[in-house]
Amino acid sequence: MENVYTTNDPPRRISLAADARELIGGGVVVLAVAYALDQWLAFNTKAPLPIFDLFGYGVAIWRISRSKAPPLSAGVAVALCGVVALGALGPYRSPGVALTVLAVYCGTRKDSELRTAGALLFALAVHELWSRGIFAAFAPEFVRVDAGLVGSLVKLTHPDAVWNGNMIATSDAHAIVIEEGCSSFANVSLAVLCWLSMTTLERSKVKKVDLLVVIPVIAMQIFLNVARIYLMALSPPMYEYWHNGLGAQIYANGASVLTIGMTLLGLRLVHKP
Amino acid sequence: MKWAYRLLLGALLIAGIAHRLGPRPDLAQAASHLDRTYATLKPELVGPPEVDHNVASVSVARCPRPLIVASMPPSFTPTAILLSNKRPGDRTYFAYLDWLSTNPDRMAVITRRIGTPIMAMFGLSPYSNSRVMLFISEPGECDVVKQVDWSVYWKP
Repeated sequence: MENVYTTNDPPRRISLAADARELIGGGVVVLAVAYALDQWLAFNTKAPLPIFDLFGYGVAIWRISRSKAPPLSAGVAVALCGVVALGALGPYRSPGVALTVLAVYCGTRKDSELRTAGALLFALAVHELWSRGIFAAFAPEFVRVDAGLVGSLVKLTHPDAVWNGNMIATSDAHAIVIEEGCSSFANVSLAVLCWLSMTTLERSKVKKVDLLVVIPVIAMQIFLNVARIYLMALSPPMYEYWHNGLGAQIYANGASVLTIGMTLLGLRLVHKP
Repeated sequence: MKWAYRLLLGALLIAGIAHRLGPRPDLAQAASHLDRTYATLKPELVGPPEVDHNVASVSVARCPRPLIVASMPPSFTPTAILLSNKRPGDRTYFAYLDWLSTNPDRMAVITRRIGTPIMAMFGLSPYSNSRVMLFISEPGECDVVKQVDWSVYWKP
C-alpha cells in the first residue's frame, strides 16, 4: 500500500541527539590513544605500552557499550566532544583532566553500567593525573617511608651501612639516593586500577568484600619495590642489574603477573560459594 | 546526525595522534635552555659550562669557584644529598619557573607544579616544561645567582 502524506504531517526535523554509548565510548577510545602515545613516547624513548591502563580503558568501554543510557541532548554531546578535544589536543596530562570530566558524567547517571564505567574512568584519572599531584605534595614523606623500610633492612644485614634521610650507603664506594620516582607509593594507584579493572570485568557492582582483595595487592607492590631497592643498595653491580638491566624487567613483569594473579585468586576466594 | 558525531570523533582521534606524534622537547633542547639561561652571565663566563649528567659547573669571573647547577625533580627529595656536598659559606638557591629562593618552600613549588600544566592546557602559561627544578650553589664571595633570569630555562 502506498504511503499517503498530507499537509497535516509534522515537518521532518533533524535530531542533534547523540547515542550516549557511542559518543562516550568513542571519546574514551580517543583519550586512551592519546594517553598511550604520551606514555610510549615520553622523553623520546620507546617505553613499554601502559598495559594495565589500556586494560582499564578496555573494561570501561565494554561497560559503556552494555549501558542503556538515553540519547544525549545536543548541548551535552557538544560539551563532551569539547572535553574529549581538550584531552586529545592538549598537552601532556590533559587526557587525565578530560577523563575526570567523563568519569563524573558517567558516575552520576542512573544506569549501573555507566556508573561502573565512571568509577573505572575515575580510577584511570587518579592514576594518570591526580595521584601525581598528591604524590608531588607529599613526596618527601613518601620517600622517607621507603627509605625507612629499606634502611632498616640494610642495617639488619649490613650493620656498617650508613642511612641518612633518603640516602643509604653500604660502603665507601656505593651509596644510593631514593628519589621521588623510586617510591613504592607510585605503584599503589596502578595496583588499585588493576584490581578495579578485574573486579568490574566480572561484575558491574563492586562489593565491600572486594576491598579485602586490594589491600594485599597494595602490600605486595610495596614489598616488591622495597626488596628491589634493598638489592640495589647492596653493590654497584646489583644496582646496575636491578635499576637498568635485566632485573628491572624481571621486577616490572613479575610485579604485573603477581598483581593479576593475586587479584584473580583474591576475587575467587572472597566470592567462593 | 549519528555520522556527524562519528566523523567528529574520528577527526579528534586523527588530530590527537598527529598532535602526540609531533615534535617533542628533548634533552638537547633542555641543554640549550640551560645555555640560554647562562647567556645572562655571558660577559663574565670563563669558558663553557661543564656538564656531567644533571649537574653543571659554571665558572664566572668574579667568583673564586664555579657555580654548581643541578637539575632535580621538583619535590626537594634530593635536597639532603645536594646540601651535604656544599662547602661552608656557600649559598644555595632553588629555582623553579618564576620562583627563586634560598628556602625549600614546598608550597611555592607544588602550586606551580600543579597550576602550570593546567594553565598550559589553555595556552596561558609561558613555560613549556615543568618537570625539573634547579638547585644552585654559589660561593659566598660572589653574588650572581639573583642577577640571572632563571625562568628562561623553562620557556620554549
